[in-house]
Amino acid sequence: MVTIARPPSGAGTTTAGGDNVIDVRNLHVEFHTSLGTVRAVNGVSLGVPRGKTLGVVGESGCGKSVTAFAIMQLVATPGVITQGEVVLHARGKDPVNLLTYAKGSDDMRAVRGRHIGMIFQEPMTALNPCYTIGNQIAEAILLHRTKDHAQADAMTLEILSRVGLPSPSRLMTTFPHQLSGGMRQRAMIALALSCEPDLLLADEPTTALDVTTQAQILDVMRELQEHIGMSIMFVTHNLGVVAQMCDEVAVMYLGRIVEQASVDELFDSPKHPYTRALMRSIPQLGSGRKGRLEVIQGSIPGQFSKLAGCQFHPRCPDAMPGICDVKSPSLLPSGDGAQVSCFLHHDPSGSPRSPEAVVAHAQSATGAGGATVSSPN
Amino acid sequence: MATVEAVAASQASASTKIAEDVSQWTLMRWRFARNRLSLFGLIVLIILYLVAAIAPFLAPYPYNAIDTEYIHTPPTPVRFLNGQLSICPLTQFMRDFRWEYTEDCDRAVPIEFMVRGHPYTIFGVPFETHLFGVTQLPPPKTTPVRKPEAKADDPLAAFMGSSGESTMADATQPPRVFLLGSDIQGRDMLSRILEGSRISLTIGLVGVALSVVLGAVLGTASGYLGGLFDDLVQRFIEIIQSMPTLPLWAAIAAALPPTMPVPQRYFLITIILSFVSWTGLARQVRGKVMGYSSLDYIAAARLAGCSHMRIILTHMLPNASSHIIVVSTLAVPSAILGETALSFLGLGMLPPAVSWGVLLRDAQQIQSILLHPWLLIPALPIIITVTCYQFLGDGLRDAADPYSG
Amino acid sequence: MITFLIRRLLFMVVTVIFISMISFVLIELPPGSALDAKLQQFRSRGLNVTSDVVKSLEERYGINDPIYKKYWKWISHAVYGDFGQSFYLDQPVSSLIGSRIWFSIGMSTAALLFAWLVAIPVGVYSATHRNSLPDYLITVMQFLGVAIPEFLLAIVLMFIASWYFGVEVGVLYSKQYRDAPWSFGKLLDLLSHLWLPVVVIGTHSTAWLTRVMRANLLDVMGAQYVQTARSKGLGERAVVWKHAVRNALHPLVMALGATLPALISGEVIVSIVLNLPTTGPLYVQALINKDMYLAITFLLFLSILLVVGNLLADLALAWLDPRVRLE
Ligand SMILES: Nc1ncnc2c1ncn2[C@@H]1O[C@H](COP(=O)(O)OP(=O)(O)OP(=O)(O)O)[C@@H](O)[C@H]1O
Ligand code: SF4
Ligand SMILES: [Mg+2]
Repeated sequence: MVTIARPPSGAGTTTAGGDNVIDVRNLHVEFHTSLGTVRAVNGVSLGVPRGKTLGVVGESGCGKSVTAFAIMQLVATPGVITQGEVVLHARGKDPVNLLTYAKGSDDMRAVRGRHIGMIFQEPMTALNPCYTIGNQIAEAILLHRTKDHAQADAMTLEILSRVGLPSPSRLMTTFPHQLSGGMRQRAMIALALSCEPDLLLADEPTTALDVTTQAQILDVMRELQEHIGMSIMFVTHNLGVVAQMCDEVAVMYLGRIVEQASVDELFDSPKHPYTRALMRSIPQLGSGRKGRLEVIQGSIPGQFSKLAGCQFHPRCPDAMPGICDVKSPSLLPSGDGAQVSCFLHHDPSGSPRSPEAVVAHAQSATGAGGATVSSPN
Repeated sequence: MATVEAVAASQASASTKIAEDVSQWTLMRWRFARNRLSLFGLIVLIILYLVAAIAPFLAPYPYNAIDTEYIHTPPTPVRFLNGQLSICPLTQFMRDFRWEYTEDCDRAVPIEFMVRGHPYTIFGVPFETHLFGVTQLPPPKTTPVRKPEAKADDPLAAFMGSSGESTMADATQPPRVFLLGSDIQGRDMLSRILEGSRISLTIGLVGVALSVVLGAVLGTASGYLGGLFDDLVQRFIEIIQSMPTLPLWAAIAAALPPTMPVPQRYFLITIILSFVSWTGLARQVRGKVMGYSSLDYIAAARLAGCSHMRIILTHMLPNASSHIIVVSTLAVPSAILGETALSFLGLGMLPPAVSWGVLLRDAQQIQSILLHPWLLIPALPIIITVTCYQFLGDGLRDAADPYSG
Repeated sequence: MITFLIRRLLFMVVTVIFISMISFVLIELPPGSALDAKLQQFRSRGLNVTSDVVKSLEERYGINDPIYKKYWKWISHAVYGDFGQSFYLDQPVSSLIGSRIWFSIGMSTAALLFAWLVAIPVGVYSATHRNSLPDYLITVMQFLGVAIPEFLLAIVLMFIASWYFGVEVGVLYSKQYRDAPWSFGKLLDLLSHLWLPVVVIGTHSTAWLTRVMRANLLDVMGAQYVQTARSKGLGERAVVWKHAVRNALHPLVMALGATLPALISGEVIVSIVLNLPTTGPLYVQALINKDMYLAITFLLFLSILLVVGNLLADLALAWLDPRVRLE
């Protein structure tokens, strides 16, 4: 049902029990502001398969960036990680729960930049305007790879040429404001990958760029991923980019993961009602002009409100009164390898429902036939 | 390409809905009310201005009443005697070339409230009632007052004989209550500080008001008209800002003849104070106006045939007004301090007018403060006022523009 | 960069010319001249001043010339270092101003250094320990530092210094060095007398700069590149001092233009209270006595001090910020 072109991917790998670089379990982040407590991340669980790319999608403000920062233990000041585990399986090292490290400890700092790199949405502001590109990259290398300045410079040159920047030697003495947005993002990628990390956290790295530059940046990232053999957690709004880049996708809604599945799985048979609505909002080539782009009904509840039951139930077309507004579903494996957090796919007790029951329920809820749920206009 | 953003695009979140319903001013008031410190500043300032308004009611004596029997008396201790707040009559001695005072608490007189005293007017209405005062005569002396041992070689004591003691304890006048002491002419510091608040609290405010008018007009015109006019105004501002503030103020103030009547001098000093401070304001307003000029609704108004004047008055000034209020609030402290400094140098307000700066002029000599530390008291209201204006200005700025530092 | 410098220098010259005009007009325009004060002085000494004498004096000093003529006369000599004659003190202005202006420069510079050296670390500490008890204390001190008039602070510190520490104030040298030739001991002695006024002059600016520094740093700490620096694995100290402070200094240097006038004003008034041999006391005396050439020259020099300070601030900004430097 989705016609966006995407490269053929291998068999849909699943997260559960697989070989993951990082496992996030039941992560909670709260912001204590003067107006009240914002539960920005409210029980996120996800895993990034080794050498693969996990896409994280969701509406603005659902907590994608906060999750990424929480993995690095870099949540901005009023925010605190209140609960959860972030287990890093670095190459040749024992798995370790990063949250057992203190925020500013040497252990945590040895992970940042070395095992986990990060790039941001705004290339314009992500680099320090006061220092040259070369200086900023060499700084990371000097921290983790070598103490020798000449060697660090050589490594910097190498990584700069890898990200496809012209005349890397000149970049050593160039300041960020002398570069275009696309070039800055390349420099930023070079910085994040300068120590060949196991995992790259990419927080909407292409959103601020034009389409051509975006494609080039994605190419560079894929190339380097292969070269270094790292995994990527790719935060984006763009489902087209997800289709191109990712092996797995995690869908977030209001500080929780509602569904994680392989890309094929997710695009072909989205399970969570929210995911389904997302899919329907994609303009479809060749589907004729009759279908209007769909919009998910209702609006996100205020940041401070506390909702009983499934967070999506006020907007969910399939909500089951008496169940969805009472109990909160948890992220559990559904039949075919994906993980879903919805009572349509498993009973409140936790056991999976049969697909027939799901369809039957969906039909009775909407009163329309077919496996596809039609839009409640 | 499809984005999740597109899904969310049509949804207005709850908070933006609220924002549509309430005006910018209401929001500003909310944010302001949350800031305790600036609220505190505002309340204290309101109290200070109220006090200044009813100063003569609170003052027990005329601010210029001279009494040579009470030269440099320390603050009168208030005691609780015979079930009432009371003060004890003083006896004046000359010792080591300075006046000393001893209390005679056997003859204490009570402090009374809402007493009749010297007449005064508030906003033109005559009154005679004062908040407090001492009207009763002390009972006649029964035991001789203890007198501090006069040193034998104290020439003045010798000169004045055994009666280096004044007769004021027996005087027909009720004893005086000087809660904050008295100055070199026996004038009540409290009454003088209260009177001084009228000039000190308003002169900066009027000065800033003038500079607001000047700054807003020139800033708006400069930002709106641009071109040569803008250039000229900007260069002029740069030149004024390249001159050190206080020496510049002093140079202009020195030109005022010392014999000028008080109201005239007051007014000219406000003009002098605003001569420098309008420049900063004009710059800020100009920046804002230039920002607005490029906005669509201004272009729309111009297309709709609005005159320049109309656009400035109905669109730009109201928009810049919250900004103007903030900047001018932050400008008041330096104007107040400016008046104080000028008066302290003898270039601002001059006696017989009293302002806090004029009062502090008496505290210029270190010997004088060592002996009479209460002469420094007028500094307190200055510090309190300026601090409160800063609290207020900071709070207003945060409320008007929560995203600036 | 060179053109930038030349443009700034040219503009500086023009500014100074305009300032000289404004100072001249401001001080010269009001009625009554130093000559009147001088004549008063003669008369009070019982000298008989005839109208002929008055006339010849008026002619000699050009009292009745139109103002532009007087200005031209003065400025054309001034460029050669001859700033006219002090009526009141009967000395050439240049000889009166010479050593005093250097003291003023020295004191202002020292106060500026003091302000920066205190404000930056304190501001950084305050911003990085936001909402802690020390932060609140620092904030209160900032407000008070701005609210207390300099002259008052000078009085109070003088009081404390002489009362509790027995320090002589209002003099530059202890007795034994007063007429001694220059030596290291004399320098130390000078410094030991100067620190108090320097602190007083600098207090206002320190308080203000601390506030600016704190706000800037809080701003900068929220910037993306600070997170980038952290995500490299840098320690918090390196993040703050290498990446954040460097950027937060930018507005601080720009604020220099605003602190300098306050600093020079402070220097003037503190010198008056402490009776230091800098420009301040003589300037106010000259104003009160209508000793116009002396007053104009002082005002001009203080302004030049400020203009040069601003130029230096611009250069510092260019050095600090590649975006300005490479323009
Ligand atoms: N510094 C902060 N103070 C208070 N709340 C915050 C802060 N940072 C984030 N939040 C809250 O956390 C929630 C999640 O924010 P986050 O930046 O992770 O969203 P996002 O999914 O990345 O959105 P976007 O797609 O717009 O980047 C937001 O709703 C916001 O209310
Ligand atoms: S749990 Fe219920 S409300 Fe939530 S998504 Fe599933 S069906 Fe909808
Ligand atoms: Mg984000």
